[in-house]
Amino acid sequence: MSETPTAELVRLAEQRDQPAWTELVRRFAALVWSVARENGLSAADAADVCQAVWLTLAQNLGRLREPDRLAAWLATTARRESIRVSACRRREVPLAEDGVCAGPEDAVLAAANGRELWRALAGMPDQCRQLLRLFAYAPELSYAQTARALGIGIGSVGKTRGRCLSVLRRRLAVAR
Amino acid sequence: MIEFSVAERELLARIAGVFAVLDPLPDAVRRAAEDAALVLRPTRTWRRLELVRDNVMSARERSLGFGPGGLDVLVRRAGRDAVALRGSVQSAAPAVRRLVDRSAAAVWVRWPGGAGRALVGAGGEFDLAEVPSGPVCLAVTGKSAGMALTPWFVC
Repeated sequence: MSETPTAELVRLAEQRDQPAWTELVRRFAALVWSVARENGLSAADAADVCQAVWLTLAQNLGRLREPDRLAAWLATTARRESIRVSACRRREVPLAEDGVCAGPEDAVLAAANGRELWRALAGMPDQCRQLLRLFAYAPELSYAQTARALGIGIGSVGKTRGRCLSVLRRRLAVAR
Repeated sequence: MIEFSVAERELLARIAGVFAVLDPLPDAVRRAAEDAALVLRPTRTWRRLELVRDNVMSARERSLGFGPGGLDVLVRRAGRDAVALRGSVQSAAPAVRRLVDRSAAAVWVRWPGGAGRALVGAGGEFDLAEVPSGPVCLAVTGKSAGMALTPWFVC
């Protein structure tokens, strides 16, 4: 199932094939979660967004126009739902204040040089961090899909991508 | 698709790894996602629960029981167009006991056009606030194999 193309998984899931649906969740749940979190939502609100997104997908499996581009559909739907929840809650929790950099994960980060990377990411503009996290979970997105998922102009995706990667590399170099 | 160099792909993989440690996808969120298709698109493999008790407690409250087994629900009016559903899943009841690994169980409520979900507490209790008045059905999902679904009823 892990090698099955996404469009085929969508077709199988539409026919109530639960393993296919579970595989879709395995592939894309972290993407949906990351979009919600990068839109400034708390963990509880992000969980609500994830639930809404997966329910929406379950209701619309047979109506997806481009099932092979499910990652883009999920990212865009998660962003829209995140904006709706943010408007309802009227509060935002910055990522850096929401339970990060504490506890037993420190050892994991230190071992993988992850702390430097995390610090570099945390200090970057929101748009850069959102873009890089989106690419990290869905590198297959096109320029147009990325623009829709982030709510930015398609013309700025390429420049933003180059600038953000450069900034991140510089920050990592300085940290070393 | 956007082209990335090998070095950029490695960096993106590291970013994914860092977020996976520092802001991981919670298990409960993943389980809810896995359940979503089952709840909206139930199959015949689901165990059916039937309404076995419907008592009017007051002008604002009804007590419902589903069986065989033990899914008890107190329906309380919560405003003009909403109700709150509070209840319990009895792990000793034959119809549902196989599903109740309570640490992973959840009760879903589905209504036309939407759905909500509440985790089942250690004592089997659950609480679903602000459910739209009208037809609903309940589904109990668990980590283990069994699942149970009520018929649609109006509340």
